[in-house]
Amino acid sequence: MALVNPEFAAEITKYGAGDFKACFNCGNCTATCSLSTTENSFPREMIRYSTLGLEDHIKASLKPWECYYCGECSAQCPRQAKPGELMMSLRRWLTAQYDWTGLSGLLYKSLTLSLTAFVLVLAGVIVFASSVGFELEKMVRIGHYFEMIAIGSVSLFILLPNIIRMWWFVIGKPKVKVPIKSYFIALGDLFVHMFTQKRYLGCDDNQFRWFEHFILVIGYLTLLITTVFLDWFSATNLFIIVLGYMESLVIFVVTVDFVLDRIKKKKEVSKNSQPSDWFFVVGLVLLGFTGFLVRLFIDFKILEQNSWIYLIHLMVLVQWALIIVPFGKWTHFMYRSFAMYMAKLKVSF
Amino acid sequence: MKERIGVYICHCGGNISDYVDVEELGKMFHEQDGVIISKDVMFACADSNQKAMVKDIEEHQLDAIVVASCSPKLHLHTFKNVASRAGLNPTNYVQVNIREQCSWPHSDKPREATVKAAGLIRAGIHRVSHSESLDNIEISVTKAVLVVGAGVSGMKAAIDLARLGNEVFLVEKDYFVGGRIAQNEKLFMSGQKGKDVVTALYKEMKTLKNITLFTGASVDKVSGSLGNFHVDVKVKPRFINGKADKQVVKQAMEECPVYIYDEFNLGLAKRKAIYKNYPEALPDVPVIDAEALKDESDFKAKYASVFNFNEQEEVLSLIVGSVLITTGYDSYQPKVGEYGYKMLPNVLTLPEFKRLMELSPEKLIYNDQQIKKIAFIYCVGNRQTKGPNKYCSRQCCTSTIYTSLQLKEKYKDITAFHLYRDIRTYGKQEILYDQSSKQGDFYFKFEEKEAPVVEQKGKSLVLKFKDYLTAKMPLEVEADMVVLVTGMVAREDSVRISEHFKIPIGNDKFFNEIHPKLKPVETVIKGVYIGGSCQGPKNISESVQSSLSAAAKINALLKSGTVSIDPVIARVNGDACTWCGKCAEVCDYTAIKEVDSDGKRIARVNKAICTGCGICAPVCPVNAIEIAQYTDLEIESMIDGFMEAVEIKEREISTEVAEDTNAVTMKEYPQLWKNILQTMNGIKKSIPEVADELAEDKDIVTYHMMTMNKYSVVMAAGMDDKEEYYYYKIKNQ
Amino acid sequence: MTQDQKKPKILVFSTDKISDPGIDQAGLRKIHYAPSVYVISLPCSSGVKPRWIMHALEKGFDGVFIAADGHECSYSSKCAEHTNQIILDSQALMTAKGISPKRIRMAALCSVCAEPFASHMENFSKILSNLDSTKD
Ligand code: SF4
Ligand code: SF4
Ligand code: SF4
Ligand code: SF4
Ligand code: SF4
Repeated sequence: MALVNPEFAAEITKYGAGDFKACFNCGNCTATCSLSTTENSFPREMIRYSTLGLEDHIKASLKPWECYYCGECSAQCPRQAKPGELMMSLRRWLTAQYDWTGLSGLLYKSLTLSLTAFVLVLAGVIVFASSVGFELEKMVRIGHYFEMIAIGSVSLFILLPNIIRMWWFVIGKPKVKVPIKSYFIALGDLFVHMFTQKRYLGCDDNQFRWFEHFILVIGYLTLLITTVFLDWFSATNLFIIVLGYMESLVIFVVTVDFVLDRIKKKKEVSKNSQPSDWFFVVGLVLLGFTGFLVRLFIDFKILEQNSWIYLIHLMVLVQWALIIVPFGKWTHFMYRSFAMYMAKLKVSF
Repeated sequence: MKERIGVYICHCGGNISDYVDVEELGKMFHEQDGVIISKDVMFACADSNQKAMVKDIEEHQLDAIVVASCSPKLHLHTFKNVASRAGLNPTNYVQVNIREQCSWPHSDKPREATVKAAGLIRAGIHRVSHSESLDNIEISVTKAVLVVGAGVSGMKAAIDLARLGNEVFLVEKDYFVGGRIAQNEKLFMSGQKGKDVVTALYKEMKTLKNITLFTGASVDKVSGSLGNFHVDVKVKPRFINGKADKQVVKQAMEECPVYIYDEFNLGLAKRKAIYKNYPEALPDVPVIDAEALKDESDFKAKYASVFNFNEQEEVLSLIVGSVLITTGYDSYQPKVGEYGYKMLPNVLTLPEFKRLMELSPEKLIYNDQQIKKIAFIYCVGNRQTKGPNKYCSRQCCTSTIYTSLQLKEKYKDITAFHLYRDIRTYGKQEILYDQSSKQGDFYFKFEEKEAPVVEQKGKSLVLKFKDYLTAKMPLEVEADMVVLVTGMVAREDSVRISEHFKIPIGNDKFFNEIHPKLKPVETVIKGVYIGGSCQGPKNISESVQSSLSAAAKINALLKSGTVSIDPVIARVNGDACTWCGKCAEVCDYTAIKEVDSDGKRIARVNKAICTGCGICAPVCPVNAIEIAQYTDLEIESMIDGFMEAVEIKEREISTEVAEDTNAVTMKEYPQLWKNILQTMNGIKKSIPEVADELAEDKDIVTYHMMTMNKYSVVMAAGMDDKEEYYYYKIKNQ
Repeated sequence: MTQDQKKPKILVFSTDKISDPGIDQAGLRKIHYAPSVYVISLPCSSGVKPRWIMHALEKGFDGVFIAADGHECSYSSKCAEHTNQIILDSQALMTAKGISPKRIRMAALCSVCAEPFASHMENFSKILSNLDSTKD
């Protein structure tokens, strides 16, 4: 027996859901969704769970991650219940549930809190810069260390425990039996999805968006490697330098296109932007753009005189590494891939 | 015996002639059968043929006609009118059904179909040869109407009838008018207050001198029939002194020491022994419960001027031409324990809950508990697959959803759960359903076979059920109050009413109309009509619609002062009858009475009452009673007709081939076909062109052109330039 | 004579408002039944006189079928009872004349009972054929 929790709807609304309680269960959304299948049907079921406040059922479900938010369902809904928007909100809510620190949830729900966090981090960077007397060399060196430490600790202390929590909700707690060897077999899927987001291709009329997403992910990951491990900013190897340029350019171009979409609000997916969406795309734009400029300044040998540009880049970088990656929308990319992985686990026996 | 009969056998454009050899049949009946004219015609109902029939009747002085065509349900009146137009009594017309009951069901056996058709037509000829010319029976009527029940339907109908110049007697059982709608704080869709509607109607009634209202009154005895019903109405005393000072009465009401059960508020409050249903209730005269005040001698002494304990029950005799029953409905009363009703403290029915809401202007409090979460269980006592109430009450879904909207508006912090079986907010009411979901109401769907279980858990109630919207997941809902959405049932006293007026009651116990589509407000008792929800579940506007259409029917009936009724009724052969009373016993309408005829006791049929059902005829031990048009002679001669041997030549051409060619060999096309063919003489034309040229309606031309196309009289000949219409041309040209 | 003409002749008494429309509907939907079925429509199935039934059987009909209104009858709530009494009275007359009481049958038929009508005719035909063959 599941107890109906009438309070839940209000909670989920804080994560950006629309009027989903207007749903009268016609099922048009599920029928229209090109990713929903007979065995694995959504989004109507998720709307129903959300309406009834069946939190455990939602937490155990991977369906929110299977939705790639094409918005077809919202367009077809006769009651304007915005099912696609609800799926998006559920992803945010799930992210908050997976996050053991609870910070994700707070940041999603409160814009003030998010802004405060940004300001605090900003202040921190300035304090640090002034402590080294705004010396470029020190800033770059420590910045580089920061990058490495941040990646390590965020992965170890935040992302890994959160993935384990996700596993617990989806597989551990509901006692889904998974043979050990499946965990290895399914790894292939994890990487394929992580790098290609190939499920997007299942969406109707979305080949271009998939392509944009695909090169964005590739660009982002390679830029990460280029800056952190190949130490782009200090590199002398021409190949690495050019590679970094290209990657940051790609990130910049694609994200600018995303930003424009969100401003124009023509497509269903771009109609309902939450602050967290803005932070994510704007963060990416700035990251690509400032990184590009810093390297440009290095190559034109004018960075010494213009160390402020590095300071800005550092600010963006720290925001990104301390807020957006561990507690923001960045995690979607990770959970989505792991959801595919766990979905594979669930059917593997 | 009719000896100048005209017989018309219809091809029905092939519907009949494709299977039945109509031409052969047309040649089969001759003078020795009493048949003067026998024809096969393309469309018997076509205007041109009707005209030809009139001409035939006049020219050949036909004394009876038979048309063998489609079912009499379609064209009986068409041809009766033809007879009338030609000056022939329409009772000398017989229609033989050789389409629905011959060519179509036997399309697999054309030859046998033709043999059967011959038998059917011969039976028709026999029958018509014994037919009598019967005139409609004229009865003079009193221009007065009794309306039973002063709810919204009754009051509206009374007003309309009075406006149209009829004397109206409106009888209400309660001491106050308005019926159920006064118990609704607000009415759905319009949002009007129920009591305001009652007040407005009452005021309107008061402006009409020809409405007499009786409250606290009920029908006691009924006799007579259409045009002249004699009705005794019993009026209960109010025990109040009509001349008492209003101020003193008011004071007495305030000071009355005795509280009694409050029927109007369904027991959710108490009322004084001097009461009105609600302060503005009309007529503005309180009622006194004499029984309850029995021992209050001090109080009675103090307000002696107010009381009139000597008042007696009165019986008034009325004579009316027609009766309209608008007695309304009862709400289904759940059994003790049904969903915890009367066993768990916070389970109410919807009508009770509505009273509670109206009595709670600020906060919704019941049993000292503030009510915030309310669960509605739908279809209680309705749509029972096993129980007797199979029907849906139509209005309760909307009423509940509207209540839920009202709840939110009135008390703000309310959570409503709706456990429904289907949501039936048809028509414009759908908007309310939309609003309710948008305001955040919860909807769950359960199945009758897995009805929710209601249990007490601490201070709240828990509902357990399988939700069909969540893949039948077993769910639990916690609520402070459970409201049972009880549907409508027939009134408890409807049996009494039905006995008084002899109107039939259906399986569902509501009053039965004659035909739901064709005679929706008429009962089998001539002159007695039904309107509103006494006939079956209806919402207010539907109730008013039906009672107003009944009012219109009644007005049309009484307008001329006489009514003319069908002559197809029972008649007694006085010589044979020995007054055994058997026929009177079986007649549900008490149409048969014993009379004295030259010293002999015999049965007599009241023409105004008899419905012509014929139930009395088979029971007579001496065969002294028969129904006009269904006499032994007529029926037995039909049987003979069926059995007469027929010689039918085998048709030479098979039906398949016939389909292609028979149309061209038809002797006669309907006039319109001829006209169409004329305009198309050698040239292809589109339907709009033909319609233009003939100044005919385009739809009619389309219909005929399609038929002509089907029977290969015309054929398609390409599209016009704009690719809008097809051209047609005459085939074989 | 063809096979079909040997089919038993059945006289059906139907009612104007209820069963006759049902029989019409069988035609409308071209549901076939034997062409040796003939229908007379009356206001109410309780108005069939036993003497008509006797007349039909004596004139050569093999069986009589009453398509009754049952509970739908708009004239009388006791219609089914009355019709039943007519059957009993007729059967008494039939037995007296040595006619099998099985040659009369009654069933309630509604205004859309097209298939049921056809299958009633089919069954009744079979019963009547059996009666005839056992006689021979
Ligand atoms: S299409 Fe809209 S109303 Fe229909 S089930 Fe989906 S969300 Fe509900
Ligand atoms: S947004 Fe697209 S993918 Fe997501 S549920 Fe709706 S239709 Fe399916
Ligand atoms: S109107 Fe609704 S609640 Fe009432 S009986 Fe019909 S389906 Fe049930
Ligand atoms: S036909 Fe006979 S039984 Fe029927 S209403 Fe007339 S008198 Fe009564
Ligand atoms: S049943 Fe026949 S004999 Fe008896 S009273 Fe009626 S008509 Fe007369």
